[in-house]
Amino acid sequence: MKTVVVLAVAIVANTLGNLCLSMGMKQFGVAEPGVAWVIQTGFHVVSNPWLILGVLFLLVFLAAYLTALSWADLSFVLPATAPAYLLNAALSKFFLHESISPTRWAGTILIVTGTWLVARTYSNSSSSRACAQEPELVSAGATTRGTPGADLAPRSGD
Amino acid sequence: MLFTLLGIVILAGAAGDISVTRGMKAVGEITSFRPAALLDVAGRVVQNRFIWLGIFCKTISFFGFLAMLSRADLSWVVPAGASSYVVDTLAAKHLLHEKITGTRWAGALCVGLGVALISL
Repeated sequence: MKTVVVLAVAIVANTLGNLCLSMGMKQFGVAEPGVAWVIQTGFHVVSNPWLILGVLFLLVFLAAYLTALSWADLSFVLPATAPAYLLNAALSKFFLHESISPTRWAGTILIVTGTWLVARTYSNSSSSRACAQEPELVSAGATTRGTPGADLAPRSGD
Repeated sequence: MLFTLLGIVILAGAAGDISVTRGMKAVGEITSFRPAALLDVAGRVVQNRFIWLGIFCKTISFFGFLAMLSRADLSWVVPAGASSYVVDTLAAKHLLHEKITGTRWAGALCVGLGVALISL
């Protein structure tokens, strides 16, 4: 039961975090990435309410994800959080009014399936190999559904 | 531009993972959670150059993600990030010479096809 609660918190926090970051970044328009853009965006990250909220949600996600990994296998946690892609698509549709074509839904479902298949292969690894891979995968999991670098960047951010 | 940013996000993210992992292996296993012991670990962490390199790579990856969000749909950006599974699998095969199982190839292929579909 506690696993279900923690994983649900991870999925919801991750999706809401990305949603908030998207809301925030959409306010600033498109600019060519460069040194000036990074400085300006760095300022936005610490001053824009949507971006601050997004980073806080991603912190909650990271804490819940790591908590789940402290007792459950990565080969269980990774596929269990894969449906976050579907929630992400649904929230993008309802809150950001993105039009999601049937092709995009199909692609998203394929990615969930692919993530699930890739995750299955970790249960076949020997325990030492699984341990060696785990730190990388923690971030990889966070990266794919979450925000790359958010575990270190402004939480320092995946 | 969008795919260049995606490449930066994935490669910088992977480089960050590898650096932080290497740094933390050098710092050593955390066995005690007493405040004094944790403070000692924190001291070793901030002195490790691989940790800082990892944080630098992760920061690049995070800003790349923000740049993608400013110019593309969230319903594209997040699933597109899953192409890291394809990159990881290819890197494991060609750089680390790991044996890749059929299931893993099937998973990477699904993710690759999925990313192609959401990009249509």
